[in-house]
Amino acid sequence: MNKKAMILPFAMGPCVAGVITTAIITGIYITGFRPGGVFFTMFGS
Amino acid sequence: MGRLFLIALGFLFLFLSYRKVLEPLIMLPLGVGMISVNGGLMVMEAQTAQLGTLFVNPLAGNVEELMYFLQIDFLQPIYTFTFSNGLIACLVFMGIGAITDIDILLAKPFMSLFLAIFAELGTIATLPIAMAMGLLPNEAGAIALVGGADGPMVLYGSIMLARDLFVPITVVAYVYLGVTYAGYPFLVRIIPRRLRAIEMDWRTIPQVSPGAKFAFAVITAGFLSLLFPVAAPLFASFFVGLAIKEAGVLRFIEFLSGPLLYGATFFLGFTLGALLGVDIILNPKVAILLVLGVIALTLSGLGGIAGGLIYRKITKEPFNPLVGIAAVSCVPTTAKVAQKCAAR
Repeated sequence: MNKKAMILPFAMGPCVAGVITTAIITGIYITGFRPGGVFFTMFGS
Repeated sequence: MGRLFLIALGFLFLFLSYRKVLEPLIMLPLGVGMISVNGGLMVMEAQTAQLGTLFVNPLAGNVEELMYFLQIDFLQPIYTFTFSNGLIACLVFMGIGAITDIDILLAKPFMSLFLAIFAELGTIATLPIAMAMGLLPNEAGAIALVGGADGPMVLYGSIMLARDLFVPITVVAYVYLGVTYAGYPFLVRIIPRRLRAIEMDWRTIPQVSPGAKFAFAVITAGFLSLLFPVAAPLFASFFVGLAIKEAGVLRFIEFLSGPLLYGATFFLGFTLGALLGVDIILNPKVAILLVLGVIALTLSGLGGIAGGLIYRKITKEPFNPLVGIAAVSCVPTTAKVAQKCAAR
């Protein structure tokens, strides 16, 4: 065990940023890919 | 036969959540819900020779039908008032916001966002793969969100995008998240051992004031809601929890991070289990969803690792690329996975 390799404090930053980027992508997907959305019309037909 | 399979699957979920292999907060009530509803329905079907509703009817559409089922199915009020509008995901998000620490995000914004973008590889790349496998664009978008490794977000997104598939997609997400955290330690072995052992001095991380974090929460909530109005409930829920935490409103912090978070998580799991009927596993699309879930989470993990390696190359600072796997969202589990792997 390498107890000096304490990366948890650093890891929390990308972890929280991941929530925000996922929420943004969720917003993009819901906007564009729901039935009637721009991308749904583009790729769905 | 299908119901017997689901009952057996429910027992497996219970066993794995009891052994903490799967997340017990979700999978334990889900397993009990699955066993109870499928056991009960098996008897009802035998007696009445028709599909009965015992706990909840997700297909109740018109007002008259809805009022009827609200009075006879004990989970119908939970489903109608919290699932069908995505509220349950927002309640969980408020609780998550109230326990989230954004110090490092603000102290090292470039590193955090750089890695987070790479770790969205699964969310982005799974979309065209799903469409190539025959799913409609809205269904493909819903299953691709599994790559974000965030259960409430998958639930919210799949309800909004593909309501008829939201149960299997959300269950796939929660089951795979449990399995993934056992699998990611193997995935990170593609990083050379010497890089995995790099030490990082956390004492060099600059301090961020509560005022700055509070300002970030409220400004970001407004800005993101402006850009993506359909996801505004998610942003508002997460950032209101964060703002309350940073403002130090203790009574609200206790409420959001305790009763609200765990109450919503419990009913999410239990109701989801009760929705997991035999019609779900007989849907031919479920097999495709199972494959796509694995693809999404594997790609996101690989994306996070690639981001960590690239970040180390471009910054030249002592940086352990294992941090990249933490960017696969799901606070704080992936961060703990990264720490566990670094400590070995």
